[in-house]
Parts: sequence; C-alpha cells; structure tokens
Amino acid sequence: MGWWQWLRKNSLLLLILLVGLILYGYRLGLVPAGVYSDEAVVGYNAYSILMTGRDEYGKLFPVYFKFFGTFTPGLFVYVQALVIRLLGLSVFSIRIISIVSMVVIAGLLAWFVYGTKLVKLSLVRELAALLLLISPWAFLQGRVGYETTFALMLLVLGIVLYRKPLWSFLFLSLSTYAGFTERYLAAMIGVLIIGIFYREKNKWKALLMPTGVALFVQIPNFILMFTPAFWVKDSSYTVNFFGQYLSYFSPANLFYRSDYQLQRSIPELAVFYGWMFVPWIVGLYCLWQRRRLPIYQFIIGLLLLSPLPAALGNVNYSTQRALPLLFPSMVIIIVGIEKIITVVKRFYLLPLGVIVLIYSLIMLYRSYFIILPAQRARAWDYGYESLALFIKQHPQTKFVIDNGRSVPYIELLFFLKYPPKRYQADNPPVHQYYSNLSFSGNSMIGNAVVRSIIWREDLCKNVVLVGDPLAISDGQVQEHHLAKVWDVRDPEGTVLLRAFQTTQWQRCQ
Amino acid sequence: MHKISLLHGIVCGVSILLIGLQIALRPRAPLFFQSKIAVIEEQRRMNDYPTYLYRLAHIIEERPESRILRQIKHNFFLLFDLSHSIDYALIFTLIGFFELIKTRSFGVMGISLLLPVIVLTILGTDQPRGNFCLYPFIALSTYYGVVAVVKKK
Repeated sequence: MGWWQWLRKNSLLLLILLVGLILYGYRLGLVPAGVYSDEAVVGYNAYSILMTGRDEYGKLFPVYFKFFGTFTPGLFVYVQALVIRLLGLSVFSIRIISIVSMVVIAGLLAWFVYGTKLVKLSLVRELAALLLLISPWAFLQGRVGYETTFALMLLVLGIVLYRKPLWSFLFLSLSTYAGFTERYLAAMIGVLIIGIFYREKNKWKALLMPTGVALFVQIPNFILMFTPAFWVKDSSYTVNFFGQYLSYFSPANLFYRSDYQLQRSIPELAVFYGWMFVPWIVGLYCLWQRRRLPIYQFIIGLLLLSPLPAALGNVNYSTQRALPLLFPSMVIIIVGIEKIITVVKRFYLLPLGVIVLIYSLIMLYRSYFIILPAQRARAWDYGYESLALFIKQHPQTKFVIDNGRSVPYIELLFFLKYPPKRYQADNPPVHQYYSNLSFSGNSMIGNAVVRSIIWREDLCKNVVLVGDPLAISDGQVQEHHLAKVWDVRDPEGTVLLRAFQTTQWQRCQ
Repeated sequence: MHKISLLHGIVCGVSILLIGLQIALRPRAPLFFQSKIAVIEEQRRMNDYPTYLYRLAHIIEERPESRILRQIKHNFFLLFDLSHSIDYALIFTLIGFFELIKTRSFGVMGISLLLPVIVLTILGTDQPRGNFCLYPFIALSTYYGVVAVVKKK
C-alpha cells in the first residue's frame, strides 16, 4: 500500500490524533495552575543535565535521579533535556512530552484493537482513539510534566508489538528506566506474552535474541540493584493488599469517585465517565465469553496485572501508579461499545452517541478548565512563579522561605532558571549518591535560603520571611511586628504564600 | 429445568418481598435532599465559573434535573463500591452474572437485579439495615458462578 493510500485509509484517525494534540496543548502552561513539585524537579534536573551533564546534586549522568530522595528512573529526564534544548525551560516544554506520549498511546490503542480483530468496525477504531483522548484519566496524565505517561507509552509499545518479540522486549525493558510501576510490570508482561503467544517449544528459539537484548538493556539496573537507591520505593505485600487491589476494579472508583489525592484527580470526575460503565460491563462479558482466545487471555492478563504494583505499594488507591490499567480498561470499553452497536443496531445510536460525546466534552471542560485551576491551585503548588518574580525584582533583599509543607526550593530553581553550575557550587555535594537516601529540602539559591523559619534567629536579621499562613500565622505577624510586603492568592482568593519583612532586627543588635 | 425455574421463582419472590421492606424502611426522600456540604460545594463551583459562562453553570450545577442526576449517579455507583467490601466470593458472583446473561435469564435478572438497583438508586445506599434487597441476586449469581467453575473442572 502506497503512503497516499495509507493516508486516505487512516485520515480520520490521524485527524482525531491531530485534534487531540491541539486539545491537549490548549492552555497547557496555565492549566493546571502552578507547576507541581514533581514536574519542577524533573524539569530542573533535565535543565541541569543539559547545561552541566550533572543533576542538581552534581552527579554526572545518573541512571536514577535522587530528586527528593526517590531515585526515579531517569530516561524521561534525558528525553526532556532534549526538548528543553529545543524549546527552552518552561511549563510548556516540560509538559509537551506527556502530550505526545498520550496521543501516541491513543494511536497505538486504535491500531491494536483493529489489528488484533478485537473490533471489526473501522469506525470503532477511530472511536477508541477519541474516547481515550477525552477520558479524564488520560487527559489529566497527558498534561503533566513528569514521567508516568512517557513510561506508559513505552510499556504500551511493548504490549502492542507482542508479535515482534525483539521490539516488544526492547520497549518493555526500556520502560523500566522511565517509571517505577513499569519496573515491576514490564517483566510480568514479558512473561505473559511468552506464556500466551510463545508457549510452544518451537517458538522459544525466536525468543533468545529478544531476551538477550532485554537483559542487556537491564545491565545498569542489575548493577544498581545492590544499592539502596533501587529499593527506595520497594513494594511489599501488606495486610490490606486484597482490598487495595480490588479497589482498582471498583466501579465506584473507576466511574464515579475522584482520586482522593487532589493533585492526582480532576474535580467532579472519576478516571472514566459514568456512562462508560455500561460498555465496560458489556466488554467484560465479551472478555469472559471469548476467554479461550489468546488475544482475550492477553487482555485479561493485562487487566489483572496492571494494578498489582499500585496495590502492592502501601498507598491507598493511586490512579497515577495504576496508570497502566488505562490501556486494558479502554480496550474493554471499546469492545463493549462495538458489541452494543452490533447487537442494538438502531438508528438512534448515532445521535445518542453524539449527545453522550458532547456531554462528556462539556463535563471535561467544566471540571478541568474551570474548576481544577480554581480549586486545586494549592495542590499544584501555585504561587511560586509569582514568588520567583518577586525575588528576582529584589536582588539585594535576603529571603528565608519556609519549607514545612512543600518543596519550594525546586519551584524557585525552576522559575528562576537558576544556573545549575552555581547551584551545585553553593550547596553541599552528595556523597555515595546511590546510597544516600536522605533529603532535607534546605537550599541556598542566591539571595534566598530555603529552610524552616527559626524564629529565635530570623527575627534578628534583616530578612523577608516567606511562608504559607500556617508557617507565618496572623498571631505571629502581630506578635513580631512583621510588615507584609507581598502575597499570592489562588483564583478563589485564598492566600497561599505571604512575605513579611522583619522590623525588629535592630533591637537584637 | 423445573428446579431452575423453581429456584428463579423463589429468588424473584424473595426479591419482591425485600424490595417492599427496603422501601418501607427508607430514611428520607433522597433524590430531592441536598446535604449542607453539597450546597456549599455547589455554591463553590458556581463561583468558579467565569461570568460569561454563568448560564452554563446554572444548567450544570443548579438546575433540579442536574442535582437529581448527580444524586442518581452517587446512589448508583455506591452500590458497586468494592473499596469497602472485601468479598472473596466476588469473582464467582461476576462469573455467575455472566452465566445468567448467557442463559438469557433476563426475567429473574430484571426482578432480582434491575428492580433493586432502580429502587436503591432512588432511595440511596445508606440504608439503616444495608442494601438487603440485592442479596437474593448476589446469592443466585454466586451459586451460578460456583457451579460454572466447578463444572469446568
């Protein structure tokens, strides 16, 4: 098939992906309001790698990045460094990789469900891409500046290329360098692929080279396995495992309730729309009916394996850690939708589908672009861009910034685009990088020092104290005669951060 | 065949009885009830909309139909909240549900599942003695699920 024919055949799908790209890019730098600390730390470390070849702690080309003591697999950071090279360090540039990743995942989903004959109608193929792109789970995760979506893209590449074991195992192996969840999931999915599609002995020879390549790619992991950094987010079975595991299949959690963590959810929306419950149930039924077929066994396996890393981690219901569940869940929903279309076969399905689609888009717009920036600004660390600007405008003033409830140092580094070389020189280096799990969040950033406010000492200095209303309460302001010089409020008018000049410091002298 | 019909008949009869009891023991008129927290949250969302979208805000947040729809969603999905129940027999219940669909037992499903779901969606799920009108269906589908699994072995 020539490229022109291929283009014509896939024009609608490509159009949907293009529209998805535009939709995901809409107000990317403004919504979510603020840059979450996980985004800032990835962005700044990518910037640091680009400028100096070292991370914020001065480590030369680390495999895992220490960040806040989490030792996150670093492939995403290096990819982001390339993007920053092209677009500069900004909110847009750190989030664009996730957009592209999610659009690619949508294309892969469409290709997978149609290519494996899970669905037979080509229109359903396009619908698969569209529904994934507008699903709340994908929309939220596709507009963040950290590694989860990129890691998922690599994992999904490994899944959809199951017929080409070399590429499949390569991408699965690479995904372990992109995300924590994939570190556990990639091997399990590899075993699943072998167990379902290559169980005959005469097929094992074809797996030798792919397995060798995958293991070769894992050499850095094997070496670092003997360091504490590898096991930082070690998952272990907890008493609550079964309950946590089951929660990822609870219709209430999938179709109604938001993730309880404010930064991980869109207000008033679950990970899928409520109406998707119906095709999901129908899809599960189809899965059960056709469970003897290998491709359906594969989907069942993916469905059961995907929430395992999230359930094993001692964290209640994390839609971020369970992001791999998005792919098999969408497959089930799409299979269910096709079943409904082929069984019902009524003229009103099309207008009903259009109404449901429009309703979903309205609810997504309302929840994501109206309510989220207003109500979740604090959760997304809103306010530090304004603080960075204030600090930049007062280069002669000394600042003490409280870090009791957040990690402001990385926000300031990000928004100030602070020279990494200077930051590495001003702050103590980290020795025995992969063994040093400690993290304090205290930093020197030019004329600002980030640490807890020490009232006994700081009141005797000519400094500006910065903190949230809990760190610097109204009572303390009155008691110590502090003079307000700046504040920042969220879109609802709640004060997030305040800055006060000390006025009694001369008395100490 | 007769045994199955008898079983289905018993399940339907018990379901109807329990539905009646559930309605009789209902705590309040749930679809039209808005808690104080819901009112505050609704007002908060209204304030988040820009002024040029106030009409949309009114339709989505304040209209009685929207409030009822929200309550229906709340009641409906809390019926299927697995987070609060570690039911080790759940897999058999699900398999049994699929087996019932396969055998086209829509009559018994309509009376023992659909009707209680409709009733509980309207009444709400925070019933003083639990959502017992669903128990006959859960028992029946679990039985079917166990039979399906055992027969396969």
